[in-house]
Amino acid sequence: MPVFTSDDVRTAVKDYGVKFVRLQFTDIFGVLKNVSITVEQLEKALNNELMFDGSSIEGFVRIEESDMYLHPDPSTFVVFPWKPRDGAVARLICDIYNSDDTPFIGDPRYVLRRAIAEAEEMGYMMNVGPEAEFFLFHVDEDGRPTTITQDRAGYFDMTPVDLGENARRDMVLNLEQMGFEIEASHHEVAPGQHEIDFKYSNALDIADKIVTFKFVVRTIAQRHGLHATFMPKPVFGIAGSGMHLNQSLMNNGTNAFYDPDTPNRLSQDCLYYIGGLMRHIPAITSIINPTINSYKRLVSGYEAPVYMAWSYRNRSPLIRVPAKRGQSTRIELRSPDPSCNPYLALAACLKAGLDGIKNEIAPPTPCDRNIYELTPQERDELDIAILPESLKEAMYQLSIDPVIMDALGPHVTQRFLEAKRIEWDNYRQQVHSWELEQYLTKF
Amino acid sequence: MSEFRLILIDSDNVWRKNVKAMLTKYGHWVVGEAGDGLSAIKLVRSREPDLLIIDAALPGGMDGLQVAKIVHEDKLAPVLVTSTSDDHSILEKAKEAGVFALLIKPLGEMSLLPTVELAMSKYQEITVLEQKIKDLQETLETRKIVERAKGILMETQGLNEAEAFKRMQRQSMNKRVSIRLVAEAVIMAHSLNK
Repeated sequence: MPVFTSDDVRTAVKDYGVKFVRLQFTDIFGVLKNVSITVEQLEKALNNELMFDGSSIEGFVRIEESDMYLHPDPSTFVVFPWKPRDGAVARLICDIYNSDDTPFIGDPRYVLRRAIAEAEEMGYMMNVGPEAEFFLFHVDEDGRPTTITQDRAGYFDMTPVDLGENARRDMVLNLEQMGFEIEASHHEVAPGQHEIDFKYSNALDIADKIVTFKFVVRTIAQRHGLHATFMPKPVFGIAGSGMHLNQSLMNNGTNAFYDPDTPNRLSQDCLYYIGGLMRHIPAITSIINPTINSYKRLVSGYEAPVYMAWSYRNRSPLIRVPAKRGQSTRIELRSPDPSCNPYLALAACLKAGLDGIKNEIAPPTPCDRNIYELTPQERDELDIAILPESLKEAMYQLSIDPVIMDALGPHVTQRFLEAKRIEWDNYRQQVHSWELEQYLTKF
Repeated sequence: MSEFRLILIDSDNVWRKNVKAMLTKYGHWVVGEAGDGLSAIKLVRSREPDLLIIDAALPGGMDGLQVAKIVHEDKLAPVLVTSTSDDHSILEKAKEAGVFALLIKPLGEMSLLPTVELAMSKYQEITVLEQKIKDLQETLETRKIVERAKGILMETQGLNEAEAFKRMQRQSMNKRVSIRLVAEAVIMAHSLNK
């Protein structure tokens, strides 16, 4: 497909009768930010002349350096299909620039662009296919989200129509109109849990799409009177929401992970990529599982990985290599959850994989046994370690891993660690309902 | 007079009871009722009524005009909005939400029933017209594409206009696809040769 240029944007805006354009970017936590402009201001925006105050965005800059510029990426142009034909609303995802016309190093999209450029220098292009899960919950009469799922409420409902299924169908239709190729959409393990998978693409496009996807899912849910959440583990005792990331590298149009001449038909590059990911996974965990709640999902018994191992076959380990070969050869990282910032997550994974290739880091032996059934001694013998069990531990791992810190850049690393330390302190000081239940009467 | 399936949304239970009695007396069916916006949107989506009557001011996260706007944008049903206030801003929002009528309370049978009837007939009219416009747009678009493809065939194959059209028509029948798809394929193949 030809790349959409600024001129194409100008034409499309006329064709669709667009009245408003939303300029979008994310803060370092992956939260989508919007600057809404009228179509009259579009020309100024396309000439990269629109300014905003960076100090008001969490994790960006201090007040004295607050003037930042939005550089819209015309290839991300899309019209929101749920808005009316007359007075349509479109969006453009933006890169953030400093006032001296250099890219802002704290912009997550730039962090990913840097990692992609490094891969390009080595002759690689990263492809990613995400599988994002989410919950649809009911909203109470005051408009506050609850953790009551649609399925359970369906039990009280008088009609057999499943509002959750309806909402998901509407989400898929809207995403398709926005240029997503939906590969699968289904109900997940837990009540009220859904999954929508879309087709793989290059890393930057997928990061943009994940951000868009979350926004569309939440918007459509709201239009159906439901609340969609990407919180990793909203309810104790049932499966949480993950976002598996299928990754592969391309080299001159062919899959660099595929080698028909080896026993497992995986290339040496692929094994090194796995080796790199496995070496840096403790630090990467802080990026792909960035909330306190993320670690309540990474427990055994719910198909979420707990141990650092990889396998060709079984689905319990951290990295699985699906049986598909040829152009579809890929590895599936199973620990990420949808609360992560996709730009930073992909940058960290790519950088770790490239580090593996550069330094020829061989992966440990694959483990095709069910790891949950192994005794601690057996795990020791097989040299299988445990993923960080809390945000604090993962933060510490990040602070001692120069490769991943370099992937994020000093600005993002520092702001990220600082914000997460505050989050952890805040959490640590709370008195949890579990504690009251355990200790209030006992002592 | 026709019978319609309606959904009635108002936080005032007594008002709902009265209006329901009024509507039922004239043969309409109230297939769902509630007192807040979120229940309204869920009811409309699950019961697919012919018409929604909703009050502008509702408790909770979504007011009546927000619901009306979504129902209009997703083409779910025509909407009548009721209100106790004749404030100008409500009228503006009602326009924006494509509302069929704004009824100021209190409300008598004499004004409600004709409004329901007229809203339904207008809505059906609009639906028919929208479909017509869509069909015409498609025909026009198809004709443009077929003309272009015809031109390409005449130029590259040395055919006259009737022969060029006939060739595409034959291909369309043999391959069991629309003539538009054939024409698009011709244009695409031509652009590859450039």
